Amino acid sequence: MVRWNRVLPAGFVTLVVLYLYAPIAVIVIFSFTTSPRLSMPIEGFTLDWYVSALSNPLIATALRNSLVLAATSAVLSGVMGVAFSFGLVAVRRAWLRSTLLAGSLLPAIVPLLVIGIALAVLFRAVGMPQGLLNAAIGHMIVSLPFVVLTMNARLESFDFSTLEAARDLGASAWQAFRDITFPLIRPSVIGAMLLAAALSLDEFVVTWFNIGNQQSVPVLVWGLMRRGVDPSINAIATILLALLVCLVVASNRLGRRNGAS
Amino acid sequence: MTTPEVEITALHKRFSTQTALDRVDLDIAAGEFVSLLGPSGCGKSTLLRIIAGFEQPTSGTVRIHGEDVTGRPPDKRPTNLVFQRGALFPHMSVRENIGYGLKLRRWDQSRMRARIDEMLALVRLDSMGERLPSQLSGGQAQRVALARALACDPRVLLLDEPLSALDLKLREQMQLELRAIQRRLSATFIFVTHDQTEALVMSDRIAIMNGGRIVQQGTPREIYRRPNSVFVSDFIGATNLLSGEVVGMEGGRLILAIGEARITVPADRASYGTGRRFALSVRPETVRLDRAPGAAGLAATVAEIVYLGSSVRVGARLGGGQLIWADLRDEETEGLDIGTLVALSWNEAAAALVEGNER
Amino acid sequence: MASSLAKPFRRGTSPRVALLPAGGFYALVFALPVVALLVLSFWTANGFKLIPGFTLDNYVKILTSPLYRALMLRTIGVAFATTAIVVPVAFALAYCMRFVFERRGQMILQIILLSLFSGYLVRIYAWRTILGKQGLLNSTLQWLGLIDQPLEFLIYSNTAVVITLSGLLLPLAVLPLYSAMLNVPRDFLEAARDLGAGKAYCLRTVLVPMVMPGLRTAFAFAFLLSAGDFVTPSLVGGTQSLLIGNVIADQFRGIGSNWPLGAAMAFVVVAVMLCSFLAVVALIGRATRW
Repeated sequence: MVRWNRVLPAGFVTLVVLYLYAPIAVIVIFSFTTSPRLSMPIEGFTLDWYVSALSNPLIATALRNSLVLAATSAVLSGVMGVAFSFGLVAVRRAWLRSTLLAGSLLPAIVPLLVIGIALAVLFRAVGMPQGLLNAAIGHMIVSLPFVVLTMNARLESFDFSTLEAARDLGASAWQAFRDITFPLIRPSVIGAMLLAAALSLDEFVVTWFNIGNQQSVPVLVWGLMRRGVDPSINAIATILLALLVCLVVASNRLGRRNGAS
Repeated sequence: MTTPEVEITALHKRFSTQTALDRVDLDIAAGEFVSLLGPSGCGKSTLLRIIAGFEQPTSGTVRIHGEDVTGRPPDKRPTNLVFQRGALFPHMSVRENIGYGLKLRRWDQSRMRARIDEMLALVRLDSMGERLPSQLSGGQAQRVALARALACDPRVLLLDEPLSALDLKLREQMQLELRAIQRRLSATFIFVTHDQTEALVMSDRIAIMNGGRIVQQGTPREIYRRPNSVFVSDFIGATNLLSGEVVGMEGGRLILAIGEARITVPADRASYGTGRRFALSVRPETVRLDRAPGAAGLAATVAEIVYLGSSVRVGARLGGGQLIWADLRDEETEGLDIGTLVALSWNEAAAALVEGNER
Repeated sequence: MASSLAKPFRRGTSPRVALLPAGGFYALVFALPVVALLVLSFWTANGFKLIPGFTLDNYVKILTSPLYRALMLRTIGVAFATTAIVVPVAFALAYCMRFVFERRGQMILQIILLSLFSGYLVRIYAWRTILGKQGLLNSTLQWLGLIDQPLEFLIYSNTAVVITLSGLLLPLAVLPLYSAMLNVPRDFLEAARDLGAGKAYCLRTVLVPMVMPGLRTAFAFAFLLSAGDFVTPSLVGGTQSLLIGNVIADQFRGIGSNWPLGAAMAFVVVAVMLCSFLAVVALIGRATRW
């Protein structure tokens, strides 16, 4: 007997997943094909586009800048976000706690375009010329809500009686944090930081309004895209994709091991 | 005999790897309160869900009021279910919850209002109609769930452990209340539970399930007094299971070896040949304990004394090491101490010979 | 909960000081810029030079210009079309994950969310290469002999924008719907069915009201974020399918840029989108009142 009540949903889910992943598959596949146009049939495979992409003089700078931005954003928004989440669970009034949480998540639902131009206005008002630093600050405000969200989920399921037990057994507040809390939440902290890094690596909109004449990988890709079809875009995109997948998979692993779900 | 209200025939249910129900047959008369009792995983909930229409049997049929309803979706069956945790719709008031099924049946406003009032009165929640489920206590929520299921006047009301989330006092009170409501409506109730006391208190008839089968059915008294297996006697009430072996026959009675002791029991079942192993189920309240030297009975030594208030539970160890529990009145235990030598005996009619050696 | 949490710290400094760094950062880098943007929207510009003041000229210009009105309408139209695809598909998807595949739903969610991190620009660009005149879809269809001429409507059109935006926003809409459904025990759906509700009625009167907060969030993601996106229309939309986001972006990084005008536009867009959003949410709420 065919069980239609499972076959139909399975087909539907498969279709949606294809819809989401088809574009990515196309980019990866065509970064290896000989034809400069993205069209069927495929004629042969080559690594030429990677060679030409990597010989683009801007790519090294863009990659370096992107990694600097990602690292800065991961560390600084990570530290601020983790601290914020700890402060949050200590707020005793429930309404205040949920208001603060909602407020801290706000930047995630404001269109990036608005965040990008608002920051540009602020930087211009205080006389800070556009550049990498401005972009880094932008990345932090984009990542911060996601760090808070991740850490808050972890801390809400955290059994704080283990901390009380540690204090009861003679640990100071600091010792209890060092010996109990931090080892328990460490995977979540690292996961949240990797998530921040991934968001930063992929960030384009806020960057574009604030980075000025500097480069980052998405800004470079944007420039190439605007110019037309260039197969080396596929190669750069595939490299970026590989970096992102590594970060997100690692972040996910760490989050899961922690039972943070 | 008239047609049963619910007729379950050769019901079989397999999930991918395991058999949940194995050739289950069960007839339930109109107006009967039947409990499906068994440990978790015995198939009782699956059976109930098949009757309600949430699961489809692999084979077999379910008839309700003479009509084959197998394969019909739940919304097309004359049954209603009271869920374990109530499943009251959180976004609707108590009245809206109770009226949900009536609205679907296109009752007009005034008739519906009257029916909801009637149901609220039935479960004694007259003043709670406008509350939201989140504002009710556990007991109240379950009463609303009952009222909601009864509002549509189902032929059969199905109850899936509706009292298991309540605390003991409330649970006992609700058991009596449910029983009273069922009598008043002379409705057919099928009640799933893993709590044997609950089943004994409420049911006209109990079907005991284990491993996907109904292993015994009967009135509470029949089941308590005459369990047909080690499983049933152990599951229902407290009991002493004396496992032993048939060593001979004497004047129509079987001679049993229990450890080193020998006792005789009526051979009411011919199949017990010499060498067969079985168990004798003896309820603690039927065990007598005699301190007089040379008294008739099994010799034992008092090993445990547990004070329960209304009674005292005394554990006495036989020569073979087996512990037998006896429930005694407080005054009967005066002067009894750990180490006292006693003779154990019991009313022969109250002991049941059961098959099976698994505990 | 909170009282027992706070106990181990209670002596000495309050742990709530930990709120300060990020709180200050939010104030300086999120709240303050938005205020600055609002102030700027009342200024004027002469070339690249900003002229402080207080004038409603920018707003008047936006609200009276037929061009901007057309852009705004098109933006709302595209946002609605995208939402009309994204939210029902996300709802059905979340339903399948929660109630059909149950435990495997978590895995499907991971797969869907992972696509969010596969490069924002890259995915938009990929759709351009798929839908293009000589792109993958057309060339495949031609190669298979199904069509003679490339289908032109696929690229540089509102259709292309909606297709691409839907792919970008779908994962975001699935997340809140799925988590909302996780909080709905199957019992509730069964209870409705048991009381005589058909499948559709059960969805409308029980499931939808119970997941309303998740539905609202999914709706907000799909609608507000599609209205604010300017990268998608500029890569896959034609000259006829530019959205208001493109114009705003041009006011800040274009040749004839005008920051105050762009700032005012941003506020108008946000206000219009927020109002449309609230109106639609109210409508859904009304329709699902049982």
